Amino acid sequence: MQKYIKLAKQHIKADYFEIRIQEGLGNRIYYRGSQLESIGETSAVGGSIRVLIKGRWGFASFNNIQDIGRYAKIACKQAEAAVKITGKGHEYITNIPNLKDKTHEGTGVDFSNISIDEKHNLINAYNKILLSHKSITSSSVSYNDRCSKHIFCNSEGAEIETINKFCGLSLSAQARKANDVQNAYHSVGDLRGFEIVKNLEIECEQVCKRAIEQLKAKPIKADTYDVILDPKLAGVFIHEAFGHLSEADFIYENPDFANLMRLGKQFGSDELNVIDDASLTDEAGSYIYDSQGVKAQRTNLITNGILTGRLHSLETATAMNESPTGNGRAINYAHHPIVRMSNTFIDNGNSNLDEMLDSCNQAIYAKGSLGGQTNTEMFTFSAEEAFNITNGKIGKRCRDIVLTGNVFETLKNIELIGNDLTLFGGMGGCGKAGQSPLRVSCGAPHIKIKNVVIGGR
Amino acid sequence: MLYKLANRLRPLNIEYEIIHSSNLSKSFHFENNSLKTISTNETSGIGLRIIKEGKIGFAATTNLKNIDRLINQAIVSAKFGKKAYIQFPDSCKPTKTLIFDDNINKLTDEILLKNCQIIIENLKQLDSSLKINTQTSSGIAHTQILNSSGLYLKSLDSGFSLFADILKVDNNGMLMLSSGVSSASYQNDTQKIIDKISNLYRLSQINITAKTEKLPVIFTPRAVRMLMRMIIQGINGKTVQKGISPLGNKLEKQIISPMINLIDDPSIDFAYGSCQFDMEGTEVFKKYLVKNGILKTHLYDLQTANQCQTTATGNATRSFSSQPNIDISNLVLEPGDMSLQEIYTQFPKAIIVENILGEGQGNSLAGEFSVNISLGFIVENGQIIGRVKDAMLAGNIYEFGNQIVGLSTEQELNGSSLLPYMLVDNLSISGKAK
Repeated sequence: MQKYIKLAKQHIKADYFEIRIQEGLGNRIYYRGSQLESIGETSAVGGSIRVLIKGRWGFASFNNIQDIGRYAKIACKQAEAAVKITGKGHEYITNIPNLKDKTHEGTGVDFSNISIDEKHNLINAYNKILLSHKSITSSSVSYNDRCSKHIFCNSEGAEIETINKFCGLSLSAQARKANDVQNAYHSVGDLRGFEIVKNLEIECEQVCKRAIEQLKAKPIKADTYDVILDPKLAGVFIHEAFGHLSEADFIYENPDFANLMRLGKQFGSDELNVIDDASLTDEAGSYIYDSQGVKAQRTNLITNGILTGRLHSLETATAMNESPTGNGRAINYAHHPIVRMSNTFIDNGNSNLDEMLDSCNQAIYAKGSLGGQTNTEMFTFSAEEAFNITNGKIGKRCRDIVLTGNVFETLKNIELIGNDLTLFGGMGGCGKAGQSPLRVSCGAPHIKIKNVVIGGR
Repeated sequence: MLYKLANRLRPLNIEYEIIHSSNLSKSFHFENNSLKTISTNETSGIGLRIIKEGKIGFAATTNLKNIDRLINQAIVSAKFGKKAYIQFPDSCKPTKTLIFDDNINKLTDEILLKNCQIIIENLKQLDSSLKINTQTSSGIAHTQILNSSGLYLKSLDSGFSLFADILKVDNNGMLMLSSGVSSASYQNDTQKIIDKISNLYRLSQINITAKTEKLPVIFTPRAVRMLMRMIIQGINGKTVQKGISPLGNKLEKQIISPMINLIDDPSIDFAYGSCQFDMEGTEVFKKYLVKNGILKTHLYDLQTANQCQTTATGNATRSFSSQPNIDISNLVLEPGDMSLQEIYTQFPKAIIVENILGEGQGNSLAGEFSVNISLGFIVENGQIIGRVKDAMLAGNIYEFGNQIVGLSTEQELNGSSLLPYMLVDNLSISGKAK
């Protein structure tokens, strides 16, 4: 690979450049119902070159590494064309990393040494458990692993080589009674290695049980409710409702937005602490360097209810005259690094689930997540299962729980924060600007939020 | 390349299908009113599906230098692979639908950049503090399919897109509006995009908090797409074969209002979803999925069709790196007989839904939706009085029945869908207003 990088460098004349090369090998095994839908390997090699000339970016991505010199020229030509047509730009960057390092992300049992037989047997066994229940009409089990080598270098002399190993599995079961169909799922995925996909027999049973139990649930009536969220759902909530707002690319060129997100502003009660930390070991959103060669770090986004930080790429940090936070991430070589979260969570507070329940006369206890979405101001997220709470007691199941709200209002409406913080990775990920799914994790302790709109019929 | 791989496969006594695609695209990004990046993307890859001893194997790579590993991996995966219910087709007559526009090759950087600049200049006139993003891209893609039954197909298609969005932040919160075009041909639609966003911007100046109540809802073509996609999920032969589709046993039965005529149409010249053959070499054709509310067909690829003892419908889609999936080409809903004016004035009060947030989070296979109205308006006596905020909309498309009041005579072609407005009575809205 070194010879290609050398070749590329010979053809670049720019104020700044980044070269990224990636080689990867992935395996997928996918059962849907009783049938194996796919099993196979995908290998990929590719790279990209990004150059900055007189404040304008040029970018070229490619598979044909041998031709890297030509792509280097294309990237430069494009930046020059941009300057020619629209004049000099305002983009510049400072704090450019210049480290040389070789790193490994992912410390557990290496799945590359496990035969496809063994992987297949494991997945097949899980699928059989799911399908052994009479009320389960369909299942899916999806296994993925990928090992990729990333090489990064830039014009300041940074040279970082990273080997990343990610492995994960998701289980889902579908229960059906007449026309009513209910789903439950479980997903694991992070950098801990092959162990995390082993010994999930109990989880298979639980997934079936949840799907079957949900058939008894009654659709919820549309209204405003006080809700208790379990750590998983609260994690999705903080990712969607607040995490995306803390990404500085929404803010750095928009003074009105920057004002809304000014540091020092009160966002929640003084018990509320929100953190993004890519430097945690082996979580789904962990890494050692971001896609711009900046070292991963912990960023305190909200401290005691006050906005204290935000997430940056080199571009946004430079523009706002703040320090880079190591959140410039590209989903792969073919994309630009943009500001992304890593492991985002609400830190432990002083309450616990029992106290939360005691504080509720009428409320909803919502657990698990079927996904979430935000347009920065508004968010929606859905629970996998939910229960009515009456006079502090968890009662009957309800379903079709989609929660929505205004980000700022809802953060202020967090009334109680538990002390059982848990992080969740998994096979899914986060999507932004056409780059999806990016591996991230999110988490929280149990939290109680008042006055949340839940849709329904 | 293709033949080199085929030559290596021939002595192995296996059936094979090679799919090769290469794409070249160029794109321009303006962020917050100024040009950020010009990008080129040049990628290609190869996917190999084989049948060995009655089982399917698959492997894919972008590393065209390492053919041996690709073949080897496909063979290894066939050992575990699913049972093959397919034979690779030996012939396919591509349609004459136009999917390549030579003008795409003639687009200069200047033209593409100019379009973005015109949009920004015009939208800034709405409010100088607006932050405007635009992006445009153009490209071409070559696709080739070669299989051991003797089939060889190739297609060349082009693509063009132009999108713009604006963000306004003030004390009332945020307003995000977007519009765009995507097509296989170059269209100078800058004015259309400017007009659309300007119009939405003017309508969004007054915010109204919704109450929890039942109201008639006017779905714009963009929102109608969300509703129709749920039906498509149920028509997908894969969900039928797995026994999870609510439409599995509903062929020739009434599934929705007789006003609904839904078509899969791969033959619209230059529409984004058009094609001349499907991605395993099955012939494609225009067909009714739902006629007068009656389900006419499910959609199949080769494997699923044979498992269900029926024939493939030309709906296999895939990239080189995956095995076939089933999907529609262009989604067409035939127009109705109401003018837009009639739709707006039918009821004293209604909600227009333009954009939603949270699609697919509910039990959409069962037709359920519960979504945030991220852009919607309240109409009273035919007049739009403001933007509705903090509201959710919920329902089940299979329970609409005679709640569907009508469809507009006007249709909008947007990327791969051609859809009218739809008026549905008595849907649940939830909001915080007392």
